[in-house]
Amino acid sequence: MKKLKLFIVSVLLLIPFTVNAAEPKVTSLDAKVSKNEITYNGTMEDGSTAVMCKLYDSKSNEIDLLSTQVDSNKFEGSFTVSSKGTYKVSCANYEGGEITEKTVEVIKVKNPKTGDKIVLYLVVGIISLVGVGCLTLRFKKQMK
Amino acid sequence: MRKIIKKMLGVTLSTTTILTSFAPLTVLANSPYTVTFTFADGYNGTTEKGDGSNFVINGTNYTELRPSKDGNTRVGTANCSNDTCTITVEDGTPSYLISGPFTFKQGDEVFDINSPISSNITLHVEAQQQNQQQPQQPINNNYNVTFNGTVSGGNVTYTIGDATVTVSVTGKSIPASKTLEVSAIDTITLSGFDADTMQVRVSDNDPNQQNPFGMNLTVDNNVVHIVNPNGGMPPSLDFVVEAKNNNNNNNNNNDPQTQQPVTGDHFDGRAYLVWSCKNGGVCYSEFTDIPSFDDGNSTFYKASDIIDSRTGEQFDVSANKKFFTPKELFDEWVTNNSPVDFSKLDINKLIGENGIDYQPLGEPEYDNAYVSYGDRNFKVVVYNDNYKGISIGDLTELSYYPSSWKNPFLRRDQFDISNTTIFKPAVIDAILLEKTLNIKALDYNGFEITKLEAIDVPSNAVSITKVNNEWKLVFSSNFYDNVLFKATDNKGETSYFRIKRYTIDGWINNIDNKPYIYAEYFYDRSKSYSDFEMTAKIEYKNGKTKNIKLTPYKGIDDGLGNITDAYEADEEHPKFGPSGKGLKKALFVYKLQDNEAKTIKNIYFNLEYKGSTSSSYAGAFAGSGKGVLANLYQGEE
Repeated sequence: MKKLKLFIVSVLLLIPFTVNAAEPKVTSLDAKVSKNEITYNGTMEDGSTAVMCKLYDSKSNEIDLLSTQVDSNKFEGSFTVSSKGTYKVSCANYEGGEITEKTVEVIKVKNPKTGDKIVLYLVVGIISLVGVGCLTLRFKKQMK
Repeated sequence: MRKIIKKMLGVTLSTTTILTSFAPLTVLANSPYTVTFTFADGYNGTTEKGDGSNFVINGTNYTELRPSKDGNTRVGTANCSNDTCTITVEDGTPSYLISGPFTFKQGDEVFDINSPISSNITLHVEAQQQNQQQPQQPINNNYNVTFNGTVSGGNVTYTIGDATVTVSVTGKSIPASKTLEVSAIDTITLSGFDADTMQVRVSDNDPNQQNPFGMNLTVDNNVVHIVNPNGGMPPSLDFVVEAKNNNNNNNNNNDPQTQQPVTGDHFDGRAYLVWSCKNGGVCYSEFTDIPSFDDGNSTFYKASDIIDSRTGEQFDVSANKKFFTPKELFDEWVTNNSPVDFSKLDINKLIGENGIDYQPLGEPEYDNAYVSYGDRNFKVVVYNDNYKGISIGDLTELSYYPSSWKNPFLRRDQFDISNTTIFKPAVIDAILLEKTLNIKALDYNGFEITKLEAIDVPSNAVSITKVNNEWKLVFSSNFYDNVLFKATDNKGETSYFRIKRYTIDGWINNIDNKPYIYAEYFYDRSKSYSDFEMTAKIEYKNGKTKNIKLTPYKGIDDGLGNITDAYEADEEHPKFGPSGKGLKKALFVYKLQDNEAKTIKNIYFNLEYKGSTSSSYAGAFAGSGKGVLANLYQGEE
């Protein structure tokens, strides 16, 4: 009876590891931060041709994803973030499989250009051009 | 507008004309009688006008008045006294007690039944109006309309000269298949339409139709409706916006004089190819045995074998103007305009009066091939010496295809890869699920592919092997959904083509004037729409982004314009039309804020399997890189 229980427990313990067992796994994952860009790279087991990586914030909200090709068992990619904080890069084989994660800290971000100030820049530019024009005319008149 | 159309028709136009039999009716004193409600094919009382809540009979709201599951009839019992009858229609729960005189109402449309009851007869419903005339035949108010332009974001564009006309159907989205169910009350709006130079034409798209139909529609303030005051509109129609026919009186009728030439079975294989001669004037060459399109494949002709009957000039596909026209039309035109000096004739005059060459699917204009659908009489490819044709086989070789591909004009069977470069490749559409494709070099001009390579993907992304004279491509993953190939031929020249394996079609359009993101997708029939999760990343013009999750939408177009009142449509069992193979189709949506659409720059969709956990990923089904890029359309404002 003990042997039977042991067998059942062993089988139950194995079940989680047999899910997607046929799918290649991520064998290494590294992630780095440069300003507001998180770059990552890793390696896969044989048989994988693509990988899916997702980016999670500190509250485990999925905020971005990117699938990339796997070439010679290697892959790489990057995410851009808009605020500092702790982020988690999570990667798995594109067709599914075990997830591998890497946590990074973004300390400083550079706000993306939004184009919101485009009108202001235009006005300043036009005024500047008019000013330069006026000065040129005045200079020419003085030369005469 | 609806009132005007009503007057024109003399009968109701509403899609609520559910009873389509028109047997003579008399009032009989004896009762009860058996009453049979006969519904138009495809009628579903709960889906009309979207919400199904406004079917009113004598002021009582009915939401479930519909045919039985077994057919398109419902049987009730009528107890009548003079003109007043009480009809009980039972359908399990609840049963309806309807007291006459009968007034049927849905939305703004009101109908009454005038003295409707005779013994065990079929009822019909007529519009309330004066001097009502009994129509001679049933009117089918719903039409499967194929918009023969270029589909973009639920609308269709037509190019007429330098002008572009955008056609939209209010409250509906024209699918990629281009075929949509349109009723007579649907408003079709034409943006960019010039009534002085353009016209709108509808014609049969049933090649087996014994009495081919064609007529011009009246455009009123850039709006048209699919109506024919003379009745008799066929259920399947082609809708074309085109340059105005100079010889056309523009009347709305189905007079044979204004109908299109013979189609389908009536096509006798005889036609002229007419083109602008190199040194001016008009050249023409007679064809006597063009096969009709029954097998769905193109018939090929070598351009240099086509000789002008008058001067002996060889046809070249680079001719400035060219078109096919039926022999009898051309001959008749020549007779009526005799004597014709072809050396000085302006070909535009002939095109305006006799041309039949429409390109309903926007077949690309190849450098070395001229493709004509001959107004759906035939599919012809005329090729120059430099033509390099390839195909991905016919439907029998595919495991997956949508129902729309059964239409020989909705699927290309050949692609010219001549004059292509790595930056300007030919594009071949395929279904994502079709992991294996067989590329064949078409045996014209002695063209053979001696080497085929996939560009810019890892070596194990696509397996490429040559089997006999075909190249077998096996894609290792759905991730590789857009792959560029380089073909080296037996002359040592290189050509390029890109295979786009698609499954998601995303766009923005309005539902009840509210903007929504749409994402339709195909998947294997063994799966359910609920097996998938659709997410998207919205990129705004100001650089900000947002991740969203789309939700399933009940009311999916099966690809033939049939709206199914369900979350998914089976392409092998469409409500109407031919069957596809191996695919189901579903639609996911996301509601945007009122003015959000115009702030969006891009949308990327990803379709993943449900069931991921914190340690295990269930897998992606479609989307590479950021995802499948939407074909954005800023809907009505």
